[in-house]
Amino acid sequence: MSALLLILLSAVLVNAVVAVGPVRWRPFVAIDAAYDSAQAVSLASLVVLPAAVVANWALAKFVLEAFRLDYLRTPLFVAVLLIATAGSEALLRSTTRLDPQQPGFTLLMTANAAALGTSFLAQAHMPTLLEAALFAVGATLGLIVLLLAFVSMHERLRAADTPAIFRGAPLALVTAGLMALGLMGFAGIVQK
Amino acid sequence: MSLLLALLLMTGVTAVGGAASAAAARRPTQRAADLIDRIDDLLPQTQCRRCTFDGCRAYATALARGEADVNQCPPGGERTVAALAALLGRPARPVDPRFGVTPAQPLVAWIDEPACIGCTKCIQACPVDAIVGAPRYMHTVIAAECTGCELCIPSCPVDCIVLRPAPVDGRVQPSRGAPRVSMGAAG
Amino acid sequence: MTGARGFHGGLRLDSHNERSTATPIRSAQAPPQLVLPLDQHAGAPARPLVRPGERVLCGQPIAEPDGAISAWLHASASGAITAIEPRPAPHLLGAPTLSIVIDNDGRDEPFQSDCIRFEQLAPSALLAHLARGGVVGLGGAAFPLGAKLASAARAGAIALLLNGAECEPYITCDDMLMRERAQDVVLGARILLHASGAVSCTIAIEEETPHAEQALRAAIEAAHDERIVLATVPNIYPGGGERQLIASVFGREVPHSGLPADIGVLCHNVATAAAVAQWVRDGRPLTSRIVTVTGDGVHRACNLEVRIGAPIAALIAECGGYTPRVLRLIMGGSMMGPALPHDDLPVVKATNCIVAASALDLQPRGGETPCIRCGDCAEVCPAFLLPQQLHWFARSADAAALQAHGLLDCIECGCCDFVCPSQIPLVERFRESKPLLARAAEQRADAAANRARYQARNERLERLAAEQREALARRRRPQARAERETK
Repeated sequence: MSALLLILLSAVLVNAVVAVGPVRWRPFVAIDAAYDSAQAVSLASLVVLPAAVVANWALAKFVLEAFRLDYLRTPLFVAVLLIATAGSEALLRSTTRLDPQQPGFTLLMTANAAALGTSFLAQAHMPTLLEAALFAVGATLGLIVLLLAFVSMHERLRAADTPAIFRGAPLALVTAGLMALGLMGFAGIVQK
Repeated sequence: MSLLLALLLMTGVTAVGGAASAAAARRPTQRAADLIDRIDDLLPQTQCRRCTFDGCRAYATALARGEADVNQCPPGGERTVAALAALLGRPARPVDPRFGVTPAQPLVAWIDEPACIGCTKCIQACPVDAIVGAPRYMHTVIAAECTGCELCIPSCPVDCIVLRPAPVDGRVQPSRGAPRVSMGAAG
Repeated sequence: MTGARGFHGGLRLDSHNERSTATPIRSAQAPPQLVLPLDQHAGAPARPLVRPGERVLCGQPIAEPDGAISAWLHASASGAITAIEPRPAPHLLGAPTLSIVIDNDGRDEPFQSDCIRFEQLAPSALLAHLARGGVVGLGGAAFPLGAKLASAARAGAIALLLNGAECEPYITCDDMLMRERAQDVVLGARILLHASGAVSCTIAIEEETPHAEQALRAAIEAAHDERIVLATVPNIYPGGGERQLIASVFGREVPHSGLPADIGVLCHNVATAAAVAQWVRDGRPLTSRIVTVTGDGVHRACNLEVRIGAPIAALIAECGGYTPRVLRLIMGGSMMGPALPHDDLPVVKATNCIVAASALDLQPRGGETPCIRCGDCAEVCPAFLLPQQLHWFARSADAAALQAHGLLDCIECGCCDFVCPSQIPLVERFRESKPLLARAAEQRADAAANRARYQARNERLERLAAEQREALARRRRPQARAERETK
């Protein structure tokens, strides 16, 4: 559980920093407000994460374990994530008003620690496909909650009287650290 | 055998991934049209062509395609530059003086009626039909409709059009700086 | 969300009303000169009907409404019109505005106006008659009565609400009016019921005002009208604010972008109702009103019946003059009243109170320190706003965020200002930021209109070009046929 939380928090940090970072790395075109961008990323994650995690779990169980190719796990997971990202990009383009922008979108989704980490955790701990799927959905929801909370805090602090030395990345790190402390309270709730 | 399978698996999956990425990267025109609308909403619609494009919509299209910079609109001023920069994710710069200077207060055209010869050249030049008149009849600018685009000024053969500060409300106003105080609705 | 208090937030404040309610209302002496600004009501300024040099009678109409939202203005004394020129006005804080100046000849010759039996008039005719009385909202907003009734007439079933909940400290004019002239208020209620077609009338007063309550109950009894009821609301500022009062009395919330008429409520001040009664029953248009003169800066605090246009200096003189402790002159109450630059300003229809404030009346204000995010301001805001957030956005001039957080719904009551431990002048900040939003909205509307005209012009030119091409083609066709035939 704590491992998952840690993964999600680090993913949130990456997402948030990318959403408010340099223009080229922004995942979507013409979404200037950080909160709107976070909502769009949440939507994309909702598509990518469960699909990727389930596909990874299935591949790991039925292909890698069967043929004893466990050493291929990491690159295979990343490659599957790439496919899932491309799929979600096409889906978002055709059904919503969002306009995913390269390279920001693909990099964010593919290298997203949340997707990869959840895949590894699912493959290691979940015995059946159903459990893996539920684990993935739960992780995605957790990611969305944390991401939106983090970005909301960032938006609030934007207009605040922050000392110059703390503005931008230092404040984001401090906020993430405090959120982590707060969420550590959840550790140990679910006894395995 | 196992190695061959591994190679095949990785190549296959990565190839599919790469192909999918490439396929998804095409930009359909629907998004572009949406973006042009959103940019157009931020522009002041003066239709002055100072940005070197044929009207505000053309400038919006060029911005969407990345063919123009955000600081080409003098009537919009700093506020429009900031809004465009935020929307498109480009750096906000001061309005380029090559395209014009933002006026300190809203200006409207005014026709000096004794000098007007009724040639209708200014009526044809006005992009928003703010000048009323007919051949050999007096021409006059409807101040409320004038955008201050200055396209009528060079078109007048007798140079009788000047720019003046826009009237506020059309009513007699108290002296500047005096706030109108509402005595409040709290009993 | 209305709790036990009736509305959200608010403060319990000291009413400071003991001095000004100790003596009954008395008439102020008529001053030698009266200055009547033409724009002393909401909406368009009135258009003068008289010229300098003319003689007018007391109660004679001297300016007529200009447009749908405007009001009549009547001479508050008989005499000669000295001038129609810009004079300093209190509602513009001393800035000049076109005013009619009357030299009072002291004879008070009345202008004959009809007293009518209102039950015999159709509601629309009564409405027109009420408008001619120059009556505007006397609670402070000065909105023309005729326009307000006309807009409510379109709304359907109406509940009339008379606002006697005088919540702001120092102001007692409505309290004294209800104590001494309750029958005028009740008659006004009956007239307004008839004119607006309302089905019920609730007169709302604050708790802990026994004299007013007694007088009103007696008057309602005497009127034998079951439609009129009395309701009491808690003694909390700003409970007398229109939206807050409607929430307290009816338990319903006025939509933030709408008016009380949208939920079937018509709200008038009790003084407005009394003025309506005087116009209909006695034929006296709105030429005087009750003004509270109070504060530690005057010797004798009292409520005076003052003619519209009398100089504030004369009122102070009538109350024994200034004490040496006076520091500031405020028009209105201690929470929302602005400070006047000097007392050579006339009383206007919206003047309900003059506070000559000394150090005892003014809350000491230290320097502004940074916001500590305590959240007290949000707890007291009666408009459900977040003053702390508005403060941050106002600092960074973030117009979009201010709009989203409802800055335009702020009623500027001053509760957040009052409780702020960092002494931040919040209401001032919000007042400075509101024009920002108004200007942005104006620019958007202008741009949309420009775009529409531009597109219309382009379409027109295309259509003309197409018609020309068509006409040309039609002319060429017989010519082409003729050419072919000759070949």
